Amino acid sequence: MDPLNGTRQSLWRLRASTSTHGDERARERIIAVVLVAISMFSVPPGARAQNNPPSDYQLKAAFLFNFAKFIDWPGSSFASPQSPFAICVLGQDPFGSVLDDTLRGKTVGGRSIVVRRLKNKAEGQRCQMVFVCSSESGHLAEIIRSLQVENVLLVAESTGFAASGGTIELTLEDNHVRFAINTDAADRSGLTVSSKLLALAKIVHDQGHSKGG
Amino acid sequence: MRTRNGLIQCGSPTCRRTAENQNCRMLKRYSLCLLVMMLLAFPAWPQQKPEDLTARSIEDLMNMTVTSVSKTEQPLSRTAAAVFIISQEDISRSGDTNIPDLLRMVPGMEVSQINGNTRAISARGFDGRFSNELLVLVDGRPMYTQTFGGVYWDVLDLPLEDIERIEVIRGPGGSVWGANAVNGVVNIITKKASDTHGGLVVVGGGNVDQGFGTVQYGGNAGKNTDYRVYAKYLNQDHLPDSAGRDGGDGWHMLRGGFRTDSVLSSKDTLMLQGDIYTAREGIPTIDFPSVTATALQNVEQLGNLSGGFLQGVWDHALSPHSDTTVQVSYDRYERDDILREGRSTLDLNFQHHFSGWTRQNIVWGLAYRYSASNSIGNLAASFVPADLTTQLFSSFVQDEIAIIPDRLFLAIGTILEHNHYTGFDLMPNIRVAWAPSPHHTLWAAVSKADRTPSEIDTSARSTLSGFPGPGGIPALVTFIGNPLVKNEGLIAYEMGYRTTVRRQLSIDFTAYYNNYSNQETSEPSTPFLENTPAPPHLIVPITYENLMHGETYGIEVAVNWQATNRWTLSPGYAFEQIHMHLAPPSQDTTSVDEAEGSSPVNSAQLRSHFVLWHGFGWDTSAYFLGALTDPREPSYTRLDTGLSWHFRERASLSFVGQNLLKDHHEEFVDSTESARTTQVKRSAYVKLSWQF
Repeated sequence: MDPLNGTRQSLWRLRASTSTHGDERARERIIAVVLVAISMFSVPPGARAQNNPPSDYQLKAAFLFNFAKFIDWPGSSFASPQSPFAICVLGQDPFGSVLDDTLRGKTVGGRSIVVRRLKNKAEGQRCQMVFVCSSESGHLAEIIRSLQVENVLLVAESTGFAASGGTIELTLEDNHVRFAINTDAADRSGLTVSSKLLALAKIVHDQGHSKGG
Repeated sequence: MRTRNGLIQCGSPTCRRTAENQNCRMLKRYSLCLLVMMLLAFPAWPQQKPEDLTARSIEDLMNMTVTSVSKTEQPLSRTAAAVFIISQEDISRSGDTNIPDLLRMVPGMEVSQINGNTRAISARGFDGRFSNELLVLVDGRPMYTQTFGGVYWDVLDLPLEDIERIEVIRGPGGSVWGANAVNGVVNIITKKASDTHGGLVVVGGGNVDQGFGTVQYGGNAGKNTDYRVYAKYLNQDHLPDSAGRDGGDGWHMLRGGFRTDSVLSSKDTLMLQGDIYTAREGIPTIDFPSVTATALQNVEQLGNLSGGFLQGVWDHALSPHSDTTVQVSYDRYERDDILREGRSTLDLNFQHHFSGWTRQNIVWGLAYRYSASNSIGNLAASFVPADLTTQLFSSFVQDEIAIIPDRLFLAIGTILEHNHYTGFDLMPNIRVAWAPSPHHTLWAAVSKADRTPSEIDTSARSTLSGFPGPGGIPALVTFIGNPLVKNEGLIAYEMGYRTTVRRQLSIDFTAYYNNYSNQETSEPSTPFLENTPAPPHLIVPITYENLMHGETYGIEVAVNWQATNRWTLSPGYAFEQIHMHLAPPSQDTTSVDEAEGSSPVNSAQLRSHFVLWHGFGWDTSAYFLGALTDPREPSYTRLDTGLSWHFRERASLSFVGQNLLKDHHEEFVDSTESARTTQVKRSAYVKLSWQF
C-alpha cells in the first residue's frame, strides 16, 4: 500500500497567492537584503525576528477548529446540552501534542472541545468529528460505512476520500492546506455546512464529479 | 526497509513528508565552518511562542505556507543509514534536465560527465564509466545491467515531473538489496497515477539542450483505476572535444510510457507501468582496426539505442499488520554501440511484511532474475561467449525491533544470494538507531556487502595495443575476462547523527570506514597463439585477479537551513580518503592509482532557493568537485542559476543557465578509453510548463 496519498502536488502549480501584508513584505525584503549582504558564515540574530511558518499539522488543527465552527450538528448528536464537542483521532496520530495545544480552552457553540484518540472505529460514534489518519487509508470504505450515518463528520487526508463518499478531505497542495467537501456525504450525516466554508472548498459529489475549486 | 515505495517505511503521509523535509532540504557540501557557526549561534536565538492559528480566518489559513516538518519524526529517526532525499521540489528548483545531474546535490555522490551522453557516477569512491557498486532502482525495478554491473545513464530517463522523490542511500545496502548495492542505492520513486491527473505540456530549448519536451495526460479509467500516459523527447547538441572541435556526442531520444494504479478491492492494489524508447547517439569511441594494427584509433560512431520495460506490482493486505507484494518486470534493450549488445531481463520478486508481534517489524522476501544477453563486438571489444544467460536467486529477511518504542531501534538482516559466477553469498548487516528526542538521532551500522562479477569481469575481451612479435608474428596485448574472478568484498562501519535544530535547520552528519577485500587487479598471463581473425597472431593477455585490498574513510555533511520564510540555503560537504594495497603476487601497475585517484578528496555543494514576489522564484546551485589524480583532472566548480515565473496558477516559465563559470571544462576521463571525453559547455535554456 502506498502510504503517500498524493498530498504533494506537481511543482509547476502556482506557489499560491502570496498575500502577505504590505509591511510584512517590506520587512521580509529588508531581511532578505541583509542576509544576502552579510557573509554566509555568520548567522544574524535578526534572521529569527520574523514569524516562522506553521507546520502542516498546526495548520490542519486550525482547520479542524474551523470545521467545527462552520458546520452545524443537530442537537440530537450530543448526549446532553452540557456535553463537550468531541474531536477524535482514529489511527496513528500525526498531530502529536499539536491538536491538544491548538484546541486547549477553545469552545464551539458554547461547548468546550475535547480531543480523544480512538482505539477502534466503533468508538467514533461518540464523536462529533473524526480525523481519520493516513494509517487507516486501507479501511476508508468500512470507516465511512460505519460512521457516516451517526452525525459524525469524517475528515481524512487521503486523496480521493471525498470522492469515495467521505465528507471532508484535508490535503496539502504545494505547501498550502486545501480541503474538499462532499456535500452528498454531509447531507447523509445530517450536517449543515455553512456557505462560507463551501465557498472556500472544492465541492465533490459521490461519483467523483467536481466543480468549483 | 525494502519496499517499492522506498527505503523509508512510512505509515502516513506525514512521515513521508517529514522524511523529505528532514533530508531533502538539507544541503550539501559546503563548509564545516558554517555548521559550527550556526550551532554556536542557535542557543542565543529567542524562543518564540507559537501563534494561535484558530484566531485567523480560514482565508488566512489557506494562504499560509507550511513547513512540512511535523511532530511525527519516527520514520527518519529510526533509519540507521545515510539517507538523502531529493524531493519533487528539489527537482523542480534545480533546473536540471536529467537524473544524473540531480544526484550532484547529494553529498558523497560523485557525478561527472564524460561526454554528452556518457556519465561516470558513483558513491563513496571508485568512480568511472563502468562504476559497478551503485544500485539504481525505479519503483523497485533494478536499472542495473548485468553487462557491467552498472547503469546506462543515457537511457535512464522519465518525465522528471513524475518523480515523487529520489532516495539516495550512501553506503552498503547489500543485505536488503543484494549484490552491487555496495557503495550506495539510488531509489527513484514515481508519483501514483492518481497524483498526475490532467494534462501537462513542457517545452524548452537552449544552446546545448536544443529541444526537449514532455506531453502527458492522466485521469480515471473506470471507477477504480487511475492512469497517465506520456511522451518525452530530448535533443542535445554535440559538445566540443579537448581541441575545441565538434566532439560527435550529440544525441536525441524519444520515449513514451504509462502508469496505471488500480484499487482491486479494499485489500488489493495493482500498479502497472511501462515505457518504450528509441534514441540515436553519437558515440565517440575507439577501434582496433586489424590484427596487424599497432594502436587503437578514434572513431566516430552513430548508434541506435532502443528498449522498453513492463512492470506489474500487486500489493495485498492480509491484515492491518501484514501485507505482501508481488513484483514482476521485464526489460529489453538494444545498444548499437561498440559491442552491439542486447539484453532481456525478467525479474520476479515476492515480499512479505508483518508487524503483528510486539515491537517487531519483519520483512522477508524471495527474488529471481533471468537475464539473457547477445552481443556482436569486434576486435577492439567483444564478449566471449557472445551470448550468455544467467540466473540469480536470492532471499532476504530483515527485522526491525523497537527495543524502546520511539527511542531505540535495532535492525538486523541478511540476504542469501546465488549467482551464476560465484555461487552462494551471504551479506548480513546490523543497524542501531537511537533517538533520545524527536529532534536527535544517532545511528551506527556494520554491514557486509559484495560485488559479484558481471560479464565485463568474466567474458570481456578487448585489444589494447599491438606490436610485431617474435618472428614477425603480430602480437596483441589483449584484456581477457576471467570466469573465475571472485566477489569483491566490503565490510562497512558507518555512523551518523541527524538533528532538527528547530524547524528551520536540519543537519545530517555521516562518517564511515570501509574495508575492501579481493578488489580486482589487472595481471599479465601466459601468451598464446590464435588463428582467427587471420593472420595468426600472438595474444599477450592481461586478466583480472582479486589481488587488491584497502580502506576508505570519509565524512558527509548535509544541512538545510530555512533562513527566512522565503529563503532556503542547503550546503553540503564530503571528504574522502582512499588507500589501496596490492597483495604480493600482483604485477598490477594501474589499479591502485586509479582507485585512489578517480574520486575527489573534497567536494561541496551550496544550493539557494529564493521565493520572490509575484510568482517569481530564484534558484542557484554551486557544486565544487576537487581535483582527480588518475586520470588527472583539475578541480572545477559548476554554477547553475535559474529564474522561474509562475505567471498563471498552472503555468510557469523558467530561464536556466548552467555551468556558468567557464566557457567550457572537462569533468572526467574514462580510463578504459571506450568513451572519449568532451567538454561541458556553458549553457542556457528556456522552459515553459503548462498544466491543464
